[in-house]
Amino acid sequence: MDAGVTVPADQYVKEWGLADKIKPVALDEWRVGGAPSGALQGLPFSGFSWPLWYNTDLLKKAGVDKIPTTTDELVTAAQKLRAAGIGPLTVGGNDWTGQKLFYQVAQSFTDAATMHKVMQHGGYCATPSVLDGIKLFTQLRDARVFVDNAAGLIADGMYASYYSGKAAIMPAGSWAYTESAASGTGIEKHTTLGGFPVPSGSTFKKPMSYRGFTGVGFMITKRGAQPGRIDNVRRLVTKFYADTAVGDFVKGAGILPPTTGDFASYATNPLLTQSLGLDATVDYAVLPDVWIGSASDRIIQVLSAAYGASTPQQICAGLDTATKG
Amino acid sequence: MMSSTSILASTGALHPTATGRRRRGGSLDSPRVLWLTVPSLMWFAAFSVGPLAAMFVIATLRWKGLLYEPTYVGTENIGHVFADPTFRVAVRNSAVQIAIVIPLMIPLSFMLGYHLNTKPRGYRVLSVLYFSPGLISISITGMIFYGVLSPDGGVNGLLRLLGLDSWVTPWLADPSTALASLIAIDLWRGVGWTAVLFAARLTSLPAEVIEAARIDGAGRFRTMWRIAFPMVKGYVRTLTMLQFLWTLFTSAALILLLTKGGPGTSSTTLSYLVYEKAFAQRDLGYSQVVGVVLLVLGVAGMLLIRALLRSPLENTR
Repeated sequence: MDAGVTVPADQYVKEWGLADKIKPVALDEWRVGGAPSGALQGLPFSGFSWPLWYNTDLLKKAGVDKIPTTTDELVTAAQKLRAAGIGPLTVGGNDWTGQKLFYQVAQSFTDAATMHKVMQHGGYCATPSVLDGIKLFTQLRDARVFVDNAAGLIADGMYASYYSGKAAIMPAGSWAYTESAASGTGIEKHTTLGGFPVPSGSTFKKPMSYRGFTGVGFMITKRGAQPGRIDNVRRLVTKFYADTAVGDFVKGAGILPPTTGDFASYATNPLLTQSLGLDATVDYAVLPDVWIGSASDRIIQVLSAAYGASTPQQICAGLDTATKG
Repeated sequence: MMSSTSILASTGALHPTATGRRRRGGSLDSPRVLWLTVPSLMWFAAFSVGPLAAMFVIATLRWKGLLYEPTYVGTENIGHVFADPTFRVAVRNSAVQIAIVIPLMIPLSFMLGYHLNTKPRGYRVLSVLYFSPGLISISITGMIFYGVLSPDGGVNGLLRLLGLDSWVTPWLADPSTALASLIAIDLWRGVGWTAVLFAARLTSLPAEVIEAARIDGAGRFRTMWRIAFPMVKGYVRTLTMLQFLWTLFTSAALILLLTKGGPGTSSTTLSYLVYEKAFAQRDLGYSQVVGVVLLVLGVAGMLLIRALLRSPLENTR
């Protein structure tokens, strides 16, 4: 929108009768600045949840009876898993999956407003609560909670490892629900969804997960907004937001619906059913995407080394440099 | 020590001067024929000269991308680029890459090419084996090596099999091995391919010269470097320049596929920096300043190679 290519979508949401349908929390994520007062950059469509997947069969095999909810329990579970020859937590340290997991741990002691500020403007080293979160990350890493050489893995490796039962835990989003069933390993039947365990003294009361509506949506270009064309745009977009269409996507792609309504009947995948009830067991963390913006790629490079052997100081300094550019 | 072979070489019997005969009043010399070259010249102007000039112009702009309006900032970009630690790391990485790849690749491929030229048993199969890596597209090469070098991939698997577990590392994600891995892949792609080219050139060396050397008592190594090498020095120079330019300017492709310049900036080269600043970080001015630096380094390198591999045996025109 700041390049003048697309137009604000506020008026269309009202005119097309979508104001009551689309969830306000979804719309807010598409506003400039993430606040209800910002201009709406587009119409959100796909929602996602991003929990931690726990393979209950493997956990039981290693003697871990309940899903860890604190970081101490996680470390103990990781030790037991390794003793049983199972990889603990697999994650793509070399790409965006590793970045998201890092940010969950890093904000364990920080409130949302401070985290927005740090993600947007930097100050990782200067903000004590964030630095404590980074230290917690390195402690978990050094306690071998992540699988060996996680720094070199990308998403594909992570999925393969989890679906084939080589690792017991992975952070993955709802887009993977249907694909996990398609893997043919039956993994969706012994997976329980939960959050990332929290340390004592954390600002989060329950294990952490992400949720967002910053996936796929509609943006309207200046050309599309012209009088001759806007009506066709309206017809296409409103068709997508009809209940049957949304339901199709819920069933086939495992999205979290952007519109209010009961879609439980469409949720045939057991994992999707679980995630529709996730609100009760997890707290939602700040998703970095909107706040870190174009620094994302550089941050991934810093974090890849963080999954390797960087010290907390090196990590926070690298993040500050990457953010301030 | 002057031997029969060097006398033979210096008489120029191997370099017959071309005496072309001019056609008189023929259509080939008419100025009107030059008009036929206009389409080609226009193409050259649009696609070679144009971008080169554009590079200098964009280097003076602050420009986020095609969707945005550029603003003129003059030489401000140059100061910004030279003060940036990432730029200095990129210069260092490019220098390391060139300093290792070229001195390793050229002598190695020359020796392999010479060996191929002696037509040992199975030389046809060897030729194909040597040449193939250079034919594989860069995207496939990237995919292959991503698998080979991944934490659970071929190299680590082999090391574990040999009991060398302490050497297992995520090659592309370890700051100390990322650049080295890329250099190894460069060598893998280039050595065999260059060797086949050298072998082809060496076939045109008259057999009597090599024979004479053998009769004089020169060993295989001596014949290769003291006799054959000086006779094809011009060709060696050309291939060295080509490999130098390819390594300097096209390393971005492999880096984008495998490490994206990381971890940190440990595998960021100048070539990758041009891409990253232009497309990932939306700073076209910075990107094109680096482009100009690459141009200067490219020309300087070519002049250096020309000076180092100058051969007194050639006709210099």
